[in-house]
Amino acid sequence: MNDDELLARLRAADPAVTASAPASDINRLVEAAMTADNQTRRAPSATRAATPIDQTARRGRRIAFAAAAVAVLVMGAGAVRQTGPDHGSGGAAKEAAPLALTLDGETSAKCMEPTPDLLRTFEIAFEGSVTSRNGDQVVFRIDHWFRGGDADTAQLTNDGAGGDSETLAFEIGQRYLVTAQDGVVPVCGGTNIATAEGTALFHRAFDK
Amino acid sequence: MTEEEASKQLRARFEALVHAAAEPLRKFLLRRTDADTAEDVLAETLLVLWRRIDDVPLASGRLIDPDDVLPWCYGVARGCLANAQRALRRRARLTERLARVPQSVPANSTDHSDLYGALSMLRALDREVVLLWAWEELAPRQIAQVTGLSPNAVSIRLHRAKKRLATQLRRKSNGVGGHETSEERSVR
Repeated sequence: MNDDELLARLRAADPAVTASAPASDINRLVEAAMTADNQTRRAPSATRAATPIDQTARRGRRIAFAAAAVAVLVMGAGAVRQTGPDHGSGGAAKEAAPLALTLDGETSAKCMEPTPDLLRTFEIAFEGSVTSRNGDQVVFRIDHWFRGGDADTAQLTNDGAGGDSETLAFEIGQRYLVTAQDGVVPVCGGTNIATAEGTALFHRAFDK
Repeated sequence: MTEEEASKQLRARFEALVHAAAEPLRKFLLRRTDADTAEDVLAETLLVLWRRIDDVPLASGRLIDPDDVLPWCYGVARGCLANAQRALRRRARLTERLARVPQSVPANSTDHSDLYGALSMLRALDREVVLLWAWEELAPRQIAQVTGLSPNAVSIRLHRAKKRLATQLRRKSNGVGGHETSEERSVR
């Protein structure tokens, strides 16, 4: 089977060609997007000008990390791999590879406000809720991946170098925004309790 | 320029983008999920495009060349779909219904079950590259934009995935089982 034959066969099986769904109503889609975004984006023209002020003015709730604490964040390979054809393709499902990350404890707890440019430097970014905390272990259920993974859970382990995991202040039931690079969760990388502003900032940084 | 004018201009830009991208995006999603999810994810994708309208490549004029913006938009849709599917999987697991959730298959699937079967044997990223080539009709350079791979990596992956797909199809038409040999797997 050469390329052309394969292409013809694939094209003939294109689900979108035979789909019975009505064509999109462009105006409705435009309105829906602009209305839905009222909460996260103000008048669009004002947003760009307001962004820097926004960031300096935003009250940041910093998490106090133990200065010498070293923690490992392990992404659970909990994602169910699709085994059957999902509508014939199932294209977007990726394999979840376990990741091990370390919390950078070198810096002091006082951080600058994160910017989209700063956030974009990280290979890992997600929003997750703490589902359990057992001694020096914190487990996140990942609610939204901004970048870098497909796991459903993440495990943050404080190896106890500082001996004071309390200062990590990850609370059960609380949602957090987390970033990491090269296996390290930096203290001043935007990792924080998830607020509406924080989530919007992550969206601005990572939504392509 | 007053704020109102600027706002109008942004809106016009977004409308032009939606006109160019909504239908291709809808098809992109219909090829990868069921109709209801496709509709939800389309709305989510457009919301992201609106938030990021300043970053949409070459969306400054009223005339938008789909070839320029579509790969970028597909990349956004792909991310939104992955997030939606993750949420769906989680919900399904919670109710322990995953195994019993029927996979929606297109109405004409009887004609193409061999092909869909062969596609499902590919790894997710290989399958995506093949589908972007065949269904979205993208060039390797554009596929690279959607997937974040390098154009060179796309070319190699596409070549191998097509070969693997053709082998699977040959096997199926010969009535041999669809499982690949260890020899083939080692090529990956």
